[in-house]
Amino acid sequence: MGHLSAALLLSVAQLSVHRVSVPEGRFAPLFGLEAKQRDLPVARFELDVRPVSRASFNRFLAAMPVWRRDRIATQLAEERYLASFERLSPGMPVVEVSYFAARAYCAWAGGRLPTTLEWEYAAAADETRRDASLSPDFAQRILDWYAAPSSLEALDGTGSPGNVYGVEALHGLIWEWTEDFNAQLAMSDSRQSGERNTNFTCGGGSNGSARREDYAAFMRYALRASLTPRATLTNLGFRCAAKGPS
Amino acid sequence: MSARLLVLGCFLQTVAAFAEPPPNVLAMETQWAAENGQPTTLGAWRGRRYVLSFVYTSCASTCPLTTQKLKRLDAALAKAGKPLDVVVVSLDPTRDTPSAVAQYRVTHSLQNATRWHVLVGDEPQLRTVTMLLGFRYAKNAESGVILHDNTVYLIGPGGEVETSMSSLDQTMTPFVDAVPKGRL
Repeated sequence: MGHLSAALLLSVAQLSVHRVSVPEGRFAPLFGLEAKQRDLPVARFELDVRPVSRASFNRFLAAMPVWRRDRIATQLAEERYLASFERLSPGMPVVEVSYFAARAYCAWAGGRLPTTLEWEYAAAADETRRDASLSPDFAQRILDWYAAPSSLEALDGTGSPGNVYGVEALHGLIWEWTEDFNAQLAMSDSRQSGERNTNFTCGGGSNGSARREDYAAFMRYALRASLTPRATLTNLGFRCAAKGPS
Repeated sequence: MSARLLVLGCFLQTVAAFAEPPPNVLAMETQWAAENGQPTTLGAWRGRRYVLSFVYTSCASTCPLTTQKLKRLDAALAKAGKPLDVVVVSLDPTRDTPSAVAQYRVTHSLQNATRWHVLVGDEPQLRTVTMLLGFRYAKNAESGVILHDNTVYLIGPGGEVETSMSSLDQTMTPFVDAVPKGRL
């Protein structure tokens, strides 16, 4: 009985659109700081508690059929777009979804994608600390999650527990799109087109990074750098954000 | 023979699986303000070939070079008998006010450049069109400095990218040569 009600509660939580407020603060992202900057300001914003589910995305497809698998323009998604959609259960996060489709969903749902800075800021928190990213136990838990093989079945997982802001599954379930996922490529001195990727190649990749210890964040930046906006990976989804009340 | 066909078939499959379609700025609609304050879209250029570039008017490093390069490109295209519109999209919708854009024209002696069009949108519109093109930029949340690619695009009549170059390249001859003569 107790198990049943817990399971019911969980599925309700996964189906409802639910956002929490993330307070303003300052954060040192892995990339994007100028020479004399120690951190950057983050304004208060709203963030979905969980990634957008298959059930929610299905409602979007019904309302906006141009984003259906059989209708989407080839410039806006790769061939694999929503290929496994029918095999996902309603509460699973939607995956195989391109940047353009993720963004269109958030606009439809009255929000936007979080920026990379906002996402990393929220994801640096654990259950008790706003910035746990440099503590070895937190980093190790994330790396253990990243090391686990991904599969459709694994999308049934809960991911990381609610952090200090009440945001869940920022780690341990899927990778997530951000509004400016490709921007760190431009953050190095890119006066020559061939020099852009040096953030990830020089000095073992950590050169120019603000927190060399944060290997998990480095993996996320490297993944984002490898994406094009048409990408439809089987473990890449998204959640939405919105501007906080001013 | 059949083995060769099989190899060819695999090759074509590989191409089909990995070939990116040419970027197209009309794959999604984007909304902009023209310099006269009127709303416009890149669809207004549908059916015509044009040059597309990105700058911001307070930019101190590479943008002036980009603008100088665009002016030389504009002159070279006119001299070759194939003048094109030059569409300059602002990378800084917040600070590129109408007066900042007017000052940009004065600074670069573009007051009478009737083929030039400076478009200012908002952050989501800018993100959409730059993502469609694969053009990268990042604005520092505190200093306001915008780091960005320096790519200049030749956009075809259907919105597709026909060729591109870095605004810092030494030569623009291949770009000029890529523009066919004719009415488009």
